[in-house]
Amino acid sequence: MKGKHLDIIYRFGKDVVVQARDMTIRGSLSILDGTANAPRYKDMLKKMEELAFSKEQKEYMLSLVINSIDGAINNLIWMMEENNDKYAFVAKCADGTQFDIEQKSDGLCMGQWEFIDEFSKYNTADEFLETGELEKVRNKSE
Amino acid sequence: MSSKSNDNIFSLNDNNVYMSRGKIAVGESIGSGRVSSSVSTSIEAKILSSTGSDARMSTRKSVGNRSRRSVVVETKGGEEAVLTEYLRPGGGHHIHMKSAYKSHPSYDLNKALCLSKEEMTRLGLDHVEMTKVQRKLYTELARSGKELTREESNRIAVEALIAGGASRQLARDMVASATWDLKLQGVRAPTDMPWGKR
Repeated sequence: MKGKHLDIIYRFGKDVVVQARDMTIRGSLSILDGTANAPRYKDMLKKMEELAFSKEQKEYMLSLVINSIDGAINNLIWMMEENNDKYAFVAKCADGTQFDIEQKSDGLCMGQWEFIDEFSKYNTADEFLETGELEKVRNKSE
Repeated sequence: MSSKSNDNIFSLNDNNVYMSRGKIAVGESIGSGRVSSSVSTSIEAKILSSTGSDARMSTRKSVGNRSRRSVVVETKGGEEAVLTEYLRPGGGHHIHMKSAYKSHPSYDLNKALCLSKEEMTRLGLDHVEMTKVQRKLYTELARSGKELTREESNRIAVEALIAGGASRQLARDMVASATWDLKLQGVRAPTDMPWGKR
């Protein structure tokens, strides 16, 4: 991977992470912290409060949520890769050319973790359980 | 099923990693029922590996609507896994990461052995965890400045399978078998560091 393709692949990865992964995690967090306004989400929170989850139980539940989100993205990417004769993530470049992102990458299933590491606001489920930090701690230089 | 013995048909001996003896069996059926075909060729080989693999493997080429070569890996402990050529649709998890070999002139990702989704489900293996560990270990390797060698590629392949839920022995035996298979295709070493830093 190099040059124009590489930059666009990383931009694709950033969009997937920020607009799909992080947005979905943020949505789940808003249910748990009570900031979600949708009636169904308020009902869910009320039910959880009735169940009186402990802090540890809530953390494990949240890690399962993150794990499921990442797993769904990974399996979607894998499905696209395995069915490349039918579907493709196509990048449309500013110069009018197009290319198949999966074909030009080093494997998007593995790339997903690279993108999360580089662009996500949130840790993976195992990082969260290991550090207790939901949000990534980044160096100031980043 | 008729068969004939042919000792040392796979007498590969590369850096003392593989010592193989085998026999060829040709018949009309395979027996295990996992590979459906009207005509098949079965090759059995015992693999002795310095990496701890003592797998018994057999390769089968099925000829039917879709020709797909498969390799049955049996560990000493009695575990069994079927590796198949990577053919779409279906595909699967490449035992050796395909992007690490993509520049090798003899490498064909469609011939390289993989675990099909069905086989992964049967074995209770998780592909998501495998890819996570692949990324972690390849990144560590790239940052260490070490060269990507066949040994490193094999190590990462084994650890990825273990992360996905395979026993260490089955993981080693699958990787040994896939490495042996790559060698038969003329592929002896990886060429590219996947997701090398920008």
